[in-house]
Amino acid sequence: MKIFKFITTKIFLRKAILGIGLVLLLFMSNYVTFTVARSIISVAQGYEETKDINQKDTYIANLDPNSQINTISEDEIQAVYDYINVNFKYAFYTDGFIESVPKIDDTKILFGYMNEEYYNLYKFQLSQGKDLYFDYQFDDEIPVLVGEGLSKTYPVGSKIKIEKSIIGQPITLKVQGILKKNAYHSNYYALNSKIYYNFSILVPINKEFINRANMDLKLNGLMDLIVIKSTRDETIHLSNFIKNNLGLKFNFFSQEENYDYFNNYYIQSLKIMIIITLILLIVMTCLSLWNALVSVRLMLKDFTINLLVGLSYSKLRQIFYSYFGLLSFINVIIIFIITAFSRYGYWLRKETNIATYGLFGLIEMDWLGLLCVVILNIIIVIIISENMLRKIKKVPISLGVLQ
Amino acid sequence: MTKIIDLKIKEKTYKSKKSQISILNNFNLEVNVGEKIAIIGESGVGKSSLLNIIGLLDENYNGEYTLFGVPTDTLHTRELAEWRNKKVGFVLQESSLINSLTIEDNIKLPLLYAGSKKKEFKAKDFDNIVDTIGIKSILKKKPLECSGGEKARAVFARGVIMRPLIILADEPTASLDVENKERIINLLFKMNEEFNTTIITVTHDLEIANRHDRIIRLERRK
Amino acid sequence: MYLSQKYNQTNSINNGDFYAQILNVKKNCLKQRAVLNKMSGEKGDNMKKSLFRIADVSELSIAYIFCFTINILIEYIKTLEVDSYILQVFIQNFIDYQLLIILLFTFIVFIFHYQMLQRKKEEIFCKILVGDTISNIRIWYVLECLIILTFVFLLSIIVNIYFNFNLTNNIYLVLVFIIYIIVSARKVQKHENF
Repeated sequence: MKIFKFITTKIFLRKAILGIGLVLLLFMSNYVTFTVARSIISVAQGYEETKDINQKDTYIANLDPNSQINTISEDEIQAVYDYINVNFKYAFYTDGFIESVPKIDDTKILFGYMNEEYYNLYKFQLSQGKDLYFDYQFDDEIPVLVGEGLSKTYPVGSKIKIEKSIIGQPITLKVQGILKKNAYHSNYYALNSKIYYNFSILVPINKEFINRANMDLKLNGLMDLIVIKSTRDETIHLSNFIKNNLGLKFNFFSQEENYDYFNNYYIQSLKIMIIITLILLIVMTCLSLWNALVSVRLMLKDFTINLLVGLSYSKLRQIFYSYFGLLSFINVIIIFIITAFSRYGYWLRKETNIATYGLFGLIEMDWLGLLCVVILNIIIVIIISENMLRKIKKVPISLGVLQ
Repeated sequence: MTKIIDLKIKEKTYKSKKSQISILNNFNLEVNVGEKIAIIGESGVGKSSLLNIIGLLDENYNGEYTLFGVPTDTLHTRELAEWRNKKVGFVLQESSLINSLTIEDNIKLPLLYAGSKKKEFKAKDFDNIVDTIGIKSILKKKPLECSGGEKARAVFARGVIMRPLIILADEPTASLDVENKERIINLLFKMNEEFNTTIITVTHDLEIANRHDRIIRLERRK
Repeated sequence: MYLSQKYNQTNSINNGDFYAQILNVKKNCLKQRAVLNKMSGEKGDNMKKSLFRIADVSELSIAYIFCFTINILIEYIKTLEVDSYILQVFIQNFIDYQLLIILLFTFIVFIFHYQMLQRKKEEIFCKILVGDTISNIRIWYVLECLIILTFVFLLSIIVNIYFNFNLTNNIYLVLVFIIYIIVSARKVQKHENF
């Protein structure tokens, strides 16, 4: 320890600029790795989620990108729902509705609405309470699930009165269960984009609810509609019906089409990202190595004298690993702090759809990302240390070097 | 008399891109404990190379070397480093100090790698060495703030602080004035008198060479 | 004669023959230089003024080219139409932090200047010893760095204009590099002990 402290303070830190340069290079490579690792993990999580939904004979709706949303009347959209209700079994889910709730003054809460088919398809995990039921009465209490962030204000059994609800009348919600911490929902067409339910209320809806709901709910619900146990022909009919009534073209993609889409779209994109990242990492590793070899050039005399008076190569190797390991650890801490601040920032800015719980706000994908960073750093430290030692060994510690 | 060094070199080769230089051909050396040996010869004949080999700095030669009764080719690099720390002391020219350290830190450098032996070393031992050599006043200075003579004495102090069994001095008085030259040589010989340290000195100075027990003259092969 | 007399009068070890030797060398070198100049009839001398060797020029050029290339690449990425949301988000990181990224990479140029000047201290000392001056060496150093920078900058401008990219970041880069050159020029110095 004393030798390490001596060499670090008296040799390495005398040329601090080189250490700073290495830290900066490591930081850039760590940050890129962290970002890409998180994206990949996020996509993988989203993909796992869609696997529950993307089943045989299931078709997921998607608004054609070339469609223009014109004025749509209530009757027109209701006609579509009437048609769907008669001819199809479907899973309905929509979120993104921000409302105020009593007792929570400074934060807007995200509301999500889903029907029973969706609830059965996508099994929400609860930390407390019971499952939802869907055969409630409107003048009675509607059972809801709330996120972990609301569990203290609204524990299981408590009631939430909403004056201006989406169905145009006051409703009373009763907390039936608390969602597991950091429960989330991925965007089907941007799997790495997630909404976290920590500050959300999930409301079960039925056909009557949909009928009473406003245009926003109905239209948004159509965008992510999932038709269950259907056929290609039936979805084509549905698509035509919607086109005729609303003037919007909806595509319905089967399980196979969704897998193909995932492979062509996501896998390709991920491959490109990984290739770009690898190129960047190779470049930055080479620059780090150049920086390290420059250090050897400048510090050779100091190392040589120490070798002369009793420092062994194996000890020097240990010192290099320790020193560069320390620098890389500093970088990991920096990345950790940046991520924690970013997560904390969501809380401060009350971005309720992305605020998360975790040690310092970090969630699973953040920790896995940090693990990838640590692995990368280990590789870089090995490359740098071994090459530095190799360069020093090449120069004989003979008296001639010193003279 | 106990033999401390038994060196038999068949050949030491230096390779460059265009040529190959061979020195120290069929060179044998036996040194007893407490001997004072001077090595002289013209430039490029292999004096420093010989010192590198004796001082365990160079293993790339064709030959056999037994030091303190142990064949050196059986030693691990860690053991070689340990011997360089505890058993062999180097007294070089004054440019072999680390400029960013104080004179005191430079002198105490071997203690950093001394391991268990460091515990035996007491502060008064350091004071004794420093007083004897006469460098107490410059301990807190950096090498660049010192004169040539002061630096030479600092190098000497570093070379002897571990009370080595062998001192290897490579032209220790090369750039010194008469007074400092005399001072360094006297200090070397004092080590030999008091502690029976074996001294091997590479020098161009015949007067200094003559004061040793034995002179070995290296010549170029014709 | 004067120098040896001065030496004999001095008793202090600090002013031993060491300084006398240096002064002697310098005097001899200056004499030689004057003779050479007289013989050649030229004002200039046969010394190589440049601190840069071919390897140093190559290293610095590569460092500059690397930084400008990073900038060009990010400019190019801006022009890409990417369908994929994931790729868009990934690429947007580079676009949003473009200036920061290229400034971070310029640090390798700073390291180059630093390590080169550290290595050249002895050479600078030798040049001064034989008649050159610190200010002269500094001027040459700055000029050479600027020449290399100008060359690489022009190359970068040509590429940017050809591809119709924005030149603003190139200007920032050049300003940063000029600052590095000026800062490092102040660090052009010989070994501290003389």
